[in-house]
Amino acid sequence: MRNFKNTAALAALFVAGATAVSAQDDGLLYGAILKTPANPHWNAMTQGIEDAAASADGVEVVVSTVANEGAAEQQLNNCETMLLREPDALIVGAINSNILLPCLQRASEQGIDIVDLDYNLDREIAEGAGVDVTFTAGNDGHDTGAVGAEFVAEQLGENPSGPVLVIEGLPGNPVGASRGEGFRQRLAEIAPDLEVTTLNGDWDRGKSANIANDILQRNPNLQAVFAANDTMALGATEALLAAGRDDIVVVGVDGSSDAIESIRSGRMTATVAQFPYLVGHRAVELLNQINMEGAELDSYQSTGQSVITQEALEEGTDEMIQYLR
Amino acid sequence: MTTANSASAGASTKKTVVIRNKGALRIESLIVLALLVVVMSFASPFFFTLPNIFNVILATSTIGILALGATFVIGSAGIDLSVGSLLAFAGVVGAFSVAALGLPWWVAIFAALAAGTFAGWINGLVITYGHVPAFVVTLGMMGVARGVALLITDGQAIYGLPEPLIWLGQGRPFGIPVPAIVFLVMAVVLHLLLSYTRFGRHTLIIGDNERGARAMGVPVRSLRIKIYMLSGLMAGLAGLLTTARVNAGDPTAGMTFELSAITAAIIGGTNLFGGRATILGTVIGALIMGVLQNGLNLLAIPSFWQEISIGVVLVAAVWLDQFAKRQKE
Repeated sequence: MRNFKNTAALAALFVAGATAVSAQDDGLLYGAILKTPANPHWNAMTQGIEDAAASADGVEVVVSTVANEGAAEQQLNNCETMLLREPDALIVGAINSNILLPCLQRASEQGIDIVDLDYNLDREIAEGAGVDVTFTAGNDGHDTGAVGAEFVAEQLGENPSGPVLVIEGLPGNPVGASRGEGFRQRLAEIAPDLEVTTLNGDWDRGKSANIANDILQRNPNLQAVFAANDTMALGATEALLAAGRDDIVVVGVDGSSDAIESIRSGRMTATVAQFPYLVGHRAVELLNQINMEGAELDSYQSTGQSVITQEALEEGTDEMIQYLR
Repeated sequence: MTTANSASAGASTKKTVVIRNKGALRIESLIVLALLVVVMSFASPFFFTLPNIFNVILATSTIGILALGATFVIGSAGIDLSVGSLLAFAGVVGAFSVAALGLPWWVAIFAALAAGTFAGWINGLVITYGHVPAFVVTLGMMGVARGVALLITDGQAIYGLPEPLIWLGQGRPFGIPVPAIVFLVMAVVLHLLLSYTRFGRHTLIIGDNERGARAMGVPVRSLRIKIYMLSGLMAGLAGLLTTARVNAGDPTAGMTFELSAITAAIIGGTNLFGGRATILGTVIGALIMGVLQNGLNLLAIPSFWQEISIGVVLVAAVWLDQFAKRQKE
């Protein structure tokens, strides 16, 4: 009986806490459901979201993150908890296309705007589950892959031939897969004589180093490596350098600070920078336009990307460079 | 399941504690490795070449070094779930000491090894003097060490090490990668330690029958603490080498490596409940996993299959062992 009393008291406290939070809400409240801050990409995105919220009047952002890239269930819990705050919008960097759907569906029912960051939600699946995505901010992985392919083809000169390695992320992750697919499709169009091998580096530095080593055994005349993120590209870079091969073009995606440092010192060749800071910033700005000015927006909002090379860093003329984090 | 096993082990082995380990190298695992090598050689012309063999050993070295430590821990009927996190922790401490604190490069070596050993010492202390099960203590350490690694680095990899350190991971004297050399040398050293010293014998004795060992006058507590320190030291070494290899102290490195290390030791014939272990078996177990990964990469087979095949080999190896045992009885 005593126990029951305690539980009831606790529950009452909870309810009181929840209403207190929503009661103070006369401005706009955005809930950000993000991945792990241990990933520099998401760290920069979080900064962009927070900076944009801080520079707008009457906008408050509550950020929730998870412990690691695989903590899908924890993210669902975060989302459910966030709904208790009755936010005006959810800004979502989903760990996979499915896990958040039950929570997002309830959010849609309550008329809460849903912003998808970086194409982590599959629109078809989401709509099938009754989730209404307001807009997606970020770059389509297919475009990113195509930009990478164009850069690689340009680096390899006229009519390039020989083997090329593509390292995708975790098996089944749509971001890594779409970047790889976009790369292969564009490369087949502009440099059909290059033979592409694709493997999964699981977003992991060490694993990608192993893959690069193994493929070098199979294809000593390896021409280029395209990895779906910088961490994997850096792993491949170091493995290739260790094997004495500084002639191979290695391109990553993201524009993380360690990749930029590696490119500056002439180790890695280039990265297709995604400017996650801008993605987060734009997401909040656009939400403000919708909520404050009643703007009607396209449901895909590209935030721009740019190939960063050693040359570009030295010249510093690309104005996007200031958004590198 | 622990009770059943230790009861039967206790009944059958009290008299032959030491002799029992002699036949422990499972011929089955050697056959599996040989078969794999033959199959891969036929499947890919690039497999059975000297550079690729070094390459396999290089790729195996991280898990292999962790598995060497795990052999002692599991052989003593313990378990260490923290080594994957300790690898990241030690690597980050090493990278931090040179990249952020600006200390000379050789300090990183000591810092990384000391970080791993220190965490292992804590593990050992809490297990022996705190009477907390090893599973729980090292599970806790797994979280603590990972968290501290993330805290030190603010979640970002520390990129860019001095040349001599990079050489530890990337150097190739006589064409042999340094981590591969370190792995093989450590395997020989720990083989000698396990098979020819009192420390090694006592490790297996307390794994077989702790009470009996205590009655024989084996200093169980200090021995256990040393075993966890050894496991931590190996994690520190593995962390140092991977950090050097990828030129970055990565706080997210080594996720689930503790399970791979345990898998390697078990495939190699280490008894999960202690009392039986060989270093040679563990090296073979780790190589089986390395060869599978390398071969499937050479054939460009998706990584789903790597996980499936390693899972199948693990269960098959232990099943073969049980099967052979039943035949004998």
